[in-house]
Amino acid sequence: MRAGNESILRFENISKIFQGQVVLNNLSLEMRQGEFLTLLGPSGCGKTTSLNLVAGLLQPDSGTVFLRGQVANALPPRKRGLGLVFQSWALFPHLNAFDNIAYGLKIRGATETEIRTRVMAMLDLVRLPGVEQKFPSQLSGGMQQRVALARALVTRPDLLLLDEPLSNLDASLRKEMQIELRRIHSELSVSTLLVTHSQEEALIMSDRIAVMRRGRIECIDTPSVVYNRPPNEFVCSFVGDANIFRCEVEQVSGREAMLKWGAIRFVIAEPSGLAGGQMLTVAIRPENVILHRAGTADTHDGLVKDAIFKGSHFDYVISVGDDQLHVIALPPVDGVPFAQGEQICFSLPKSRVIPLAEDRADG
Amino acid sequence: MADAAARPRNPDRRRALLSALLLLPVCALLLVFFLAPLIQLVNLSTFAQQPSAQNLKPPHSLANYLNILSDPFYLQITANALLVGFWTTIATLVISYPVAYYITKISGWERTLISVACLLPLFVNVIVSILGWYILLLPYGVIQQILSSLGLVTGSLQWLRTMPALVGVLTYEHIPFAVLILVSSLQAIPQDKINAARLLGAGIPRIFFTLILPLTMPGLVASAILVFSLSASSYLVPILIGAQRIKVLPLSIFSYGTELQNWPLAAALSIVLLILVVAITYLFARTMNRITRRGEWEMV
Repeated sequence: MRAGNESILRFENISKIFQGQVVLNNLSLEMRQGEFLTLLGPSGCGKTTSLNLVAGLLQPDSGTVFLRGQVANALPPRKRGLGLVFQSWALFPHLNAFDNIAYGLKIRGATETEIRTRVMAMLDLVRLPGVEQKFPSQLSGGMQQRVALARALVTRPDLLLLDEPLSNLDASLRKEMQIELRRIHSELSVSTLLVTHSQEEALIMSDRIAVMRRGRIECIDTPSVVYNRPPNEFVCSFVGDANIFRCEVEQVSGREAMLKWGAIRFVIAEPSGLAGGQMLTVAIRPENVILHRAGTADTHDGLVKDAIFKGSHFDYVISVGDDQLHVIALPPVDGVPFAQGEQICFSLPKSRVIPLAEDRADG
Repeated sequence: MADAAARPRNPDRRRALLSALLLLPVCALLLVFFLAPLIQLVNLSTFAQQPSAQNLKPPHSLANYLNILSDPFYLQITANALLVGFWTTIATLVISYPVAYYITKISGWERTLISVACLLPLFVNVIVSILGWYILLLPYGVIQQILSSLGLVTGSLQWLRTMPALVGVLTYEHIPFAVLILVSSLQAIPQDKINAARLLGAGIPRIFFTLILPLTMPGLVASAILVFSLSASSYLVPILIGAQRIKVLPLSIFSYGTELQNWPLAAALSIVLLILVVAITYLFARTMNRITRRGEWEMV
């Protein structure tokens, strides 16, 4: 983790209501200096509202926003010292790339030579040399995005806000910019708050991800923890694919528990707080289900209902009784992929089965 | 039918043909009611004297134009007309811009109310609204009565036949056009761009002068051209509010054309006014476009 210990941004019990609709519900959040934090969630979860509260474009109905440890509720946007890249990039269409980037520097009264040096350095950083004289309408989407990034960074803000900056780009450009943003973040080690609905973006770029739903943070942790140990069904299905099913806890013994799902029984590890007889929702990622040709004591029988070739791997749909499992797998070691209609065996590795908390009924 | 089916189809050509057909009515209309009279007007303006039953086609000459250009009276009334247009344009834009800006910032019934109030002058007959102003501005009229009762003025107010009154009423007549154009122009600026400027540290005056004003310049130029060309060639307001006290070119055109029956001179004066208005608006638009580098950039 590149993040330091100082807090660059803190939300304390923030609530925001729009026309009777609770958009942010008593939200608290802390972001450390140098950290790349992502607010991830479906539309309407309050992530963009949160970003606008940081930027000062909105005021909270209750609660406190701290920037660099200072209360910032009443601070106007222009005094917050932030860089913001909008979803639309919001470039000034009547100014060329140079003047767009120089805009913030001119306000700060920088000298001509300083402006020139810093704008050129920024264009180098975002790998766009030679476009100074071009107007935004003469640049491609990806180039406009880079200019917007340069404009937000040239004033050396200590917090960079990114509001779905990649959603207007096509898929290959988006991949490229994800890597670029990672590189720029590590080169400048500027604290970065990204708002996105794309789990892929969040996983690739973040130090930590805050998964949001209905104005609350469902979970906040590193990408690998969010992916591998999601706390509840919402987080589990929003970040990545998962097979989610309800089982009965048959017995708990020490650090393991035996679960029953339909006709099959399997073991999970670390069953803290479980008692025999209760119902439990568990999840397993498609890539964690292991398929075999021949069965052993620990495997269960299934039928290949569908096998889809995806180039690097296969997508299988496995029938288990009345239920189905989605499995992602490389062809087995003998090199012959499982075929549609084939009887196979599968196992659920116990450390890979994720117990999920019940969804909160409120909100 | 068989022939048509056998012919290779060319959708592009058919579409082009269709577009041309759609343009035909308006072209015909312009030809008959605009271009033909204009040519006739130019033709008329070069007659040395009024055509009569004995002399249907008097000899052509530029005498009328030389006459106009060498007479300080004509130059004065031409300058007056342009001056009226100039001041009306300035006043209209200065009043309309804040109103248009305010309209874009409000919504619901408030917006409806202000929009309707701005557009109302369009629905009222010009003569009726001018007479309304006439009664307000008259010596011992409504405005005078109010001011007198407050003890602010004594004696009769001589506002009616003055340049400011003329410009004022013309401004009132043209505000709706300017507001309409400016509202759409201001509305085309995405809020994101303004927020971006705020985040970069710009205060309200800077946002206005570096962002809103340049981005609405096309709307301002369009309003200015419209208001200037309409008010510089206005006849009704000068005749009713200014009477003959403030002589502007359109008044003279009318009196030469009707009272004095000198059509060639009236035609020549019309052409002079037309050329001046077109030339001024063209140069203005060109200069503004060069300053704002319009055409090089587009809204993104």
